[in-house]
Amino acid sequence: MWRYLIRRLLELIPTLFGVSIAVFLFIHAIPGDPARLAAGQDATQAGVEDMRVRLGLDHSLPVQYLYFLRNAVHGDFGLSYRQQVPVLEVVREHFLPTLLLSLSAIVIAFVVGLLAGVLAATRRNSWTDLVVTTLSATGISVPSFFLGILLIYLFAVNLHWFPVSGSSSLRGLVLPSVSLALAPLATIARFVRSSFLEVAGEDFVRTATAKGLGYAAVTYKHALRNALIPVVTMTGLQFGFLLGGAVVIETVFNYTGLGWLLIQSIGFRDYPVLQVLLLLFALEFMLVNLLVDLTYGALDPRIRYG
Amino acid sequence: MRKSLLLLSIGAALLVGVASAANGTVNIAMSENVITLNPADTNDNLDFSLERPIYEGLVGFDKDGKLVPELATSWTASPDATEFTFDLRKGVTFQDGTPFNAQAVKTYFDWVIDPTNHFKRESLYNVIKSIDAVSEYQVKFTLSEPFGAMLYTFAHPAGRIVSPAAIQKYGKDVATHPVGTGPFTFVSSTPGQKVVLKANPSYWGDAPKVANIDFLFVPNAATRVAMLQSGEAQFIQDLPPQLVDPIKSASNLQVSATPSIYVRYMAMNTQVKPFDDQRVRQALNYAVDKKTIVDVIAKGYGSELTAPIAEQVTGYAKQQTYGYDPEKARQLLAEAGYPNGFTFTIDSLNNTTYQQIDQVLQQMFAKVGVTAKINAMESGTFSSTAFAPFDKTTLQAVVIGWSPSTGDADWGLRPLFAKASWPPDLYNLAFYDNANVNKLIQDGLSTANQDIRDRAYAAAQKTIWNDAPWVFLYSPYNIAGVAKNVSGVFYMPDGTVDARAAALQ
Repeated sequence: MWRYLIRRLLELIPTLFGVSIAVFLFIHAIPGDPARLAAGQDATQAGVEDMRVRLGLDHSLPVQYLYFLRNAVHGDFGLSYRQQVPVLEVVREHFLPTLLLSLSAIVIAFVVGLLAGVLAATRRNSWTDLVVTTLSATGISVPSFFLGILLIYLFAVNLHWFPVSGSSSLRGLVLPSVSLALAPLATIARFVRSSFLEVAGEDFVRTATAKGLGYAAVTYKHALRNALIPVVTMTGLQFGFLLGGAVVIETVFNYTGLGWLLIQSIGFRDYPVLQVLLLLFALEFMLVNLLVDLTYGALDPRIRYG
Repeated sequence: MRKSLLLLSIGAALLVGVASAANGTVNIAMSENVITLNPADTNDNLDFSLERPIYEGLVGFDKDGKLVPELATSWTASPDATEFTFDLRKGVTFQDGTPFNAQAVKTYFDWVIDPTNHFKRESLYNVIKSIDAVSEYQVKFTLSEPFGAMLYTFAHPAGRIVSPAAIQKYGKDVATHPVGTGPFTFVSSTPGQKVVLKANPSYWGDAPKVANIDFLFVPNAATRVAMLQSGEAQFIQDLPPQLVDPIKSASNLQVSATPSIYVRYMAMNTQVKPFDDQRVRQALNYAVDKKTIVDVIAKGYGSELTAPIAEQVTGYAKQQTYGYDPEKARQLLAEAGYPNGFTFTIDSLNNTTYQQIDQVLQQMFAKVGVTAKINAMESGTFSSTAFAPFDKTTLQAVVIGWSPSTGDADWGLRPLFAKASWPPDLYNLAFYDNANVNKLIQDGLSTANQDIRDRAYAAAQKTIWNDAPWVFLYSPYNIAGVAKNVSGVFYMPDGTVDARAAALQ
């Protein structure tokens, strides 16, 4: 198990290296001159060239990449073009809000989605089932920004229950988490329902019922547990996406997380921040995938790591 | 009896306390995040707005954009505009206790123009050759060449003076440790969220009327409006005309709309066909109904241009507008050899306002037989396209805006119409080149005599207007949403917000 974990973690390094090159080339391929953007519309050409030197953009691309790599190995990711402070500081500042938001959204989505899915599956073709399937179809289709705006209008502007703008308090977390949770919630509910129905028809469930186990034991201990494996993969995937910063929701709620930072940095061609953000998103995805793989073992003892 | 006396005195003390100390917090929602609080390194209106309560300059602008004294009480300029001498206000101290004097002024401007600092505003002041502290309260600037717009350059927000002790202590980190002489002192900054200022009890001028000003950063306009409605903000900057209705209809809120020095226009590449013909350029001016543009795009919050610069800019000279006359447009096009019109591309930014202008123009041009294609781009891409040098440029026409941050005709004309300002050097996107205008712009710079400058700029504006390198569109108002219990926070014509006199009722 530990050997497996260490091997998987070591495997991340070459992947990250490859991603860093891809990201670097990708960022520099976006049209637009960061030196001009930083210097401003009314800067003279001399001012722009001065800015280019200040930002280190006067070197060739390979040289810039090697500088980046050399400094990155030492934990130095450079200064943000926009704010002139170390990139890691900028990213750290916006990471916690996004982590909080994605965790609360994924918890809401998983718990509610699971309950709704099981409820629908165990009462198949009933009114409950119809309501859950209809609502989840709606949940998948409603764009999160639209839901966000509706929630703001109702709960912040009219009822004053929650603040309009997010990041400063826990209360401010509620509306963005709910808006963000809806789509994965709906997806998870549908997934649980179909996976559960599939498992419920299998022999071991019939055996469990036949040997006289109660309804709850059959449902939750045998059927649900086996139905969970694809659901966990799905949830992991959704969580990976959420950690990448909910670009739209963070903008609607003025929630200053990573998605918000990403938008700001693209607009300003803040290369150092973009580089670190995209690397971070890749790393998060890899770690979440690893976590998902490890969860399989806990759910299904037949899965061994070697 | 004794007890009641005690209560009475406590009550009196409380009353006195309330009457003398400023209290309450004014929350101002801004459309962008803070970048820096160092005036020498600032090139955006948001940061200038945040710096306004903290710092003061030698001279500044009042609400209407008129030049007024701040830390200087009087000044003189040599007739050839190479020497500027300021008498300084006495008894002023910086917020860190450092006395304000000629040496402080010298330290600041020497720091701004030090080329090793690479400050964004170095280019604004590097015409300064030397700075002399003539006496404790008199300072003399000597320029390397005549520069008639210098006084306005000192009034520019980048000319606001940082404490020499702070420069010594923090260097470039003044960006996050601002110290000036203004009525409010910096408390804290949380990038992406807010900057907090508190009243400066030892301010030399009128005492601040609130205890705190919090600048909140809220890029989404609808969110800003919602914050004003919910009471989380008392002043919201950059209110799009499309969102004024919910504010107008609320009894405790109001819309503030004031003229700006911002101009919007369509620049035509005067060096290539068909725009190398003055008649074509004039024809397009006649083809556009500016009143409709102001009504539709700006919802009435704007005014038709009556010169290449806005009315609040010093040196403005009113011109006879091109009326809306499609018939005349068609006739001019025919005379120029385009009886059946032509097709061209408008480059512009892809934000809502510019896309709307593009579309309205497209429809109006179609009525005189001219087909416009729209090429809307994201800001980085647009900036690369706009700043391409003449031999590489793809520009035929470009819809864009400009705000002369010094509030003076020089910076409203030179970057946009002088031959020396062709991209990539500056923003002459029309590639306009008129020998007479080039000379008049230089004339305006070679003297500090305002009458002579005004005359030169008036003549330049007349020629430009007649040559029509632009389709002159409109000047949008600065629009803000304000809670009725707040006063003293307002937009300056240059688009910055002045919150120094903020007060709560």
